[in-house]
Amino acid sequence: MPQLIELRRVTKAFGSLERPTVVLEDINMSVHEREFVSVVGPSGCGKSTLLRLIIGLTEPTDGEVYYRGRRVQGICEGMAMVFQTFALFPWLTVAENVELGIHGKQLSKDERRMRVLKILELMGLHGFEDAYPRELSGGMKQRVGLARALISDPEVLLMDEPFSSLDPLTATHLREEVLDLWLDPKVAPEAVIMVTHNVEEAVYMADRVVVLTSRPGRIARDIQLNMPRPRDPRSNEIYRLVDEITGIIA
Amino acid sequence: MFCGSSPFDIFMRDLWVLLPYTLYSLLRMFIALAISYLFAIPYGVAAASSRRAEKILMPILDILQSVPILGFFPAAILFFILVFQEGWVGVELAAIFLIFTSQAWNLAFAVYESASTIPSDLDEASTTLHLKGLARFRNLILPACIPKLVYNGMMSWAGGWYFLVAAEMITLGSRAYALPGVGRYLAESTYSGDYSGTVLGLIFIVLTVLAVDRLLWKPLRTYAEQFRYEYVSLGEAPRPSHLSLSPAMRLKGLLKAPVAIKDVVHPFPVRLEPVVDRLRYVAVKPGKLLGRHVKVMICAVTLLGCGLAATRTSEIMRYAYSSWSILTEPFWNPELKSEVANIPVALAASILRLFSAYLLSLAWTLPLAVKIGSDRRMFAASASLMQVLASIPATALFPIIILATMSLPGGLQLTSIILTMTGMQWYLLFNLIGGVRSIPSDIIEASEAYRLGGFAKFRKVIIPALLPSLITGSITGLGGGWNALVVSEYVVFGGESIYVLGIGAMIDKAAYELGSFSLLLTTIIVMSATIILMNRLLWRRLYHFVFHRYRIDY
Repeated sequence: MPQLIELRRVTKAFGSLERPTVVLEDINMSVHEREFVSVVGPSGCGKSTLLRLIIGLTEPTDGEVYYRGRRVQGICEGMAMVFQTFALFPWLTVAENVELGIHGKQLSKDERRMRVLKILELMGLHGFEDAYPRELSGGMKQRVGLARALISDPEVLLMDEPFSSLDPLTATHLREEVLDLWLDPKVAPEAVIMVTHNVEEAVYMADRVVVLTSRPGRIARDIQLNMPRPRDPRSNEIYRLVDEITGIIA
Repeated sequence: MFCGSSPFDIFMRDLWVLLPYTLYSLLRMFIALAISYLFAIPYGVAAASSRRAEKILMPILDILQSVPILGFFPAAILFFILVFQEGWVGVELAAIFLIFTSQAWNLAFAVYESASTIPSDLDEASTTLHLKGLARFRNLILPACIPKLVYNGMMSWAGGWYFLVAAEMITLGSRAYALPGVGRYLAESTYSGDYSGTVLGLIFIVLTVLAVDRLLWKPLRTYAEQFRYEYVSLGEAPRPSHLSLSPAMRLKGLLKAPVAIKDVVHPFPVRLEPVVDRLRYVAVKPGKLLGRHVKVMICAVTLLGCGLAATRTSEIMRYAYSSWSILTEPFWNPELKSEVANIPVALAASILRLFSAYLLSLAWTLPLAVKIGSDRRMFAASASLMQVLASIPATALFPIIILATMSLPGGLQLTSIILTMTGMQWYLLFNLIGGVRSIPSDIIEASEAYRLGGFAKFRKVIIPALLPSLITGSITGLGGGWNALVVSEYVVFGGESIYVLGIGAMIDKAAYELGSFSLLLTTIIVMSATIILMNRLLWRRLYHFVFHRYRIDY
């Protein structure tokens, strides 16, 4: 499969020049089409920073990030992000929040409305168009976050701890729905990169798990999972992988 | 004073004077508030938008805020009256300018604070969604500022009333200008000993403040609730959507063009639909028109202003020349020299007075704020009352306060402390109540679960949680206090001026008695420098310390 994203010798440091805090060090990795990649690691290992480097929210201190062979400078067209804290605008309705995902596109008013309604329907948000985020439960809020990201038909979907703010039951349901979306060729993005500290989640969902070490974050392992879907979260193979990865992190 | 007519006749006649007077004052206040918003929003947003802009704009704002409001005055009056000659337009503009200076800085700080504390997830989300320029302003920055724009707008509004009297009764050297307005009526009645007029004027002010609170601020407060952030907590249950019936939604629907008509109509019975439709049309159409023509209008106004200024070039030049010669008038005039030598002592006396007033204000506002802030029902009931109390132009009531307190032990000193309190206590009270309201309920619940009662709860939970808002309240309250010093150390009462030793009294003396521009400028600079130094060396540091140590964040 063709390569979508490539990180070459990427290092990211914060703080002053004299006493920098190195968050990520010498990261080399690539993401290909039709790949669902999970990035796991202990807290503070720079997982979230990695996502922000890929989409262009922040620039690497050293090294380069490429998207389809072009160097990433500024925010990437064709990528969309889902946040741990949902990052919904409290003053906009569900429909208005989602519409922001296509605000820059040259579309007629009717077309916009159509696309918003279609994606809301797909995300199970039908009838909530005019609700405000504060009126929704956590799971519904993250559905809005996903709808806002997917409405622009992104090539790459970036998810930063998307299920960590949800209660376990809601998280389980939403994980299934995201996997269903991933398997639906009509709506699925070309690639998904998901950052999480939940190893079970990473192993259950992804095609590939990238394991980062503690600060400074380096790639400790890059594990290809060749398990067919749907997977059984209680299968021996998953348990074995979870144990192995947890062993690397701890 | 009104001999030959019965009290009833006087009452009726005054009533007919007061009605248009109140409207005049109200119009003046609204124009000033509108200009304040127009100034504050771009200024604050610009200051928050880049480090470089912040480095230039914030110190300027700091200085502007520290210059006592009445210190802007002589220069502003001279300018406006000269540009428009002696006509009412110049005096009117000078008055609006004074009210503006009492409202704008606070709002600009509010915008800066809101725009620079936007949660990082929303900021990042906006960036990943390619929100730039106007789209970012409309969808992120402006909405984020709205709660503070409303809350600080209320404070500014009250502050404007406080200085209304000074704005409507302008004295400069030998010349005096009076504008039709309720503040002037109140002051004239009180100073001439016509206390029935005082009461009548007060009733009008209270009614006006109440009406504005009901018709403007209350709906705006509800509206602003929509714009508060919410923080993620685990397993949060959906709240009932009673909001969809609130007046805020209706207002929002009316104010906002892109909302579908059914959003607005939804809460109304079907037969009201045409009415709402019409209302929306009326509400939206001028806005759109205005938007389209706003650039043209700005150009026209600028051109008009330039033209007007050009026709007055000779006067302006003459004014500039004369003020320059006043400025360069030597200090060595023996009388002025002795005054300048008095500045350090006067400054010390004023600082002492200010802190006495501060401690006295704190002594009553802190317990009251804890009481009101922790009781939801009491808070709702008292919001309007406090808005009214804070809005009463206390300066007009000074003669009554003086009469009531002069015979107390401490005499004039105590009086001027009490007068100073009228200008600072409300800032403290409002900030403290806001602080109590924002203590997270889980902390209160935890303290109850561990049976922290009474004093222990006060000392271990409430005071530490309140410290950030106490500091903010202290900074704004002391700022108000410095302004109040100018009016409370020197009071003209019964035809003679009563004053105590202090820097505020010196400003008045320089402006009104000696007519010395250089002394006026010197005292104002000394006072502003003191305020800035105190803010930098004391309050700012305290603020940073408290913010790191006592901030509650999740």
